[in-house]
Amino acid sequence: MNRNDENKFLTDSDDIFPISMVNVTLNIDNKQLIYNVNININNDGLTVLMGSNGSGKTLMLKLLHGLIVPSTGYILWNNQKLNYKIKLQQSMVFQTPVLLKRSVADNISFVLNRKMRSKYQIDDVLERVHLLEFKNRAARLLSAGEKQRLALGRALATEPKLLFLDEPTSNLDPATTKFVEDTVKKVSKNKTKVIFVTHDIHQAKRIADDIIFIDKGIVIEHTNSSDFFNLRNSVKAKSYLAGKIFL
Amino acid sequence: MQSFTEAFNLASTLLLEGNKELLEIVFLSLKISTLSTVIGCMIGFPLGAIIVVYRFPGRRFTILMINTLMGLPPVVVGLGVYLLLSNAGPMGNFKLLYTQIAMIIAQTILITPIVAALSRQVVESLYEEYEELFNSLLITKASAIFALLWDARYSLLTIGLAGFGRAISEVGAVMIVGGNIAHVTRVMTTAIASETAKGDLALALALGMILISITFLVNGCAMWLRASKYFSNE
Repeated sequence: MNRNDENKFLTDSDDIFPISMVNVTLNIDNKQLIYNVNININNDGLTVLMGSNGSGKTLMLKLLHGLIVPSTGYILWNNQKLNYKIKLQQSMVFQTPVLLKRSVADNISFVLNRKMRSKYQIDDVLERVHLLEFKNRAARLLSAGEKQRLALGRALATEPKLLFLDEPTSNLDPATTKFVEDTVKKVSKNKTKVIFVTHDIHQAKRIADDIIFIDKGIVIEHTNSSDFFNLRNSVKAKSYLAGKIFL
Repeated sequence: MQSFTEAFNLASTLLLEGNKELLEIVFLSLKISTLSTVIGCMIGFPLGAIIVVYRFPGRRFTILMINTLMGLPPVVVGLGVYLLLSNAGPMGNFKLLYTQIAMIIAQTILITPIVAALSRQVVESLYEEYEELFNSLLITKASAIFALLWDARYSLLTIGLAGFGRAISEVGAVMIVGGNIAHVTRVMTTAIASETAKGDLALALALGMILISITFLVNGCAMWLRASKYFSNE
């Protein structure tokens, strides 16, 4: 599709779904990392991006969030190119929580002040992630689990229509992992689309409504969760679920 | 020429008595150095952060220049400011030569590259950590600069103290542009130099002791800040 074809689809709407990745590739330092991705993501439920380490899950997430730009191809949000209005409706939780060198409350207020579109107050947000008692503590003094809860609370404080989570539970204990999973499942049922990166098969089974399985930068499957785990058409998905490492 | 013991005793007496001339020189030194440091920080902190956050042509050259200017010889700065402010110079009309303002200008020129270069290093490491978050939150570059400077405030404070240490112990530039005029532009370092040359070691030694104490205090503050819970926790 050339540039003219691409432009004729563009609309101006508040709705950002479906998200379409069209012939998206990504090259970094002359190395191709993402190959010709063509997928559509609708606004229903929780999508899990799954694959082994180094398969390109995080890159896919960053492409979708607009943190990196495709080398070729393009991404459309309800037939619109990424713009400020669309980005404002998104939030991201990183694998390692990035917290400002400020108090817990100030980390939340920073985001609330920036986006100016939340009905929540700082206390409401902290209550939601069970951190109200640490309101005035330096964020960097929190435990790993508390930090990730704060990052999640901060992301949810802006009431995003689309929430990206990049392996948010990879360093967390089971209780905090359950809290994060329960929270994102809850928000995914309440007008927030969640795209969750994980390589944990059991976690994907617990939370996913649909699964995008990626291997070495190629999207192998995009199907609903039960089909993926029960039918798994591709050899690579079968190998992955069987715990076999393919090189 | 006094013996060291005699000079030391006289210096102690001057200090204990709170000699008026001595105190005048000390307060003037503190005033000039504090103002120079404040101005140097007001320029250097944002400059360091701007270099980190913005990508512009000549950025690497700017970094190289600032790093180079960190080692500016004070006498060269003094000479430059002298030429600038002397009657024949472009700013001669302002009649600033041999005034406290001339001394502040010279010290600010000395301090600013130090503050800017050290700030850049501090802010850069913080920005590496924050960059994706800022991009994700749609933080503008200008807002990012404010946020980075605020979050690096304790490190920046120690940089400010380093700048102050440089200013208060500097002699070459302020001697050239200030002229070491008694009760007008005489500061501790220039007084030490001139009193030593005259052979009045007592005043020179007393000033030297105060200068070392101030430097000690400033370094102590910087060390405390680095180790304090506020610095490490936030």
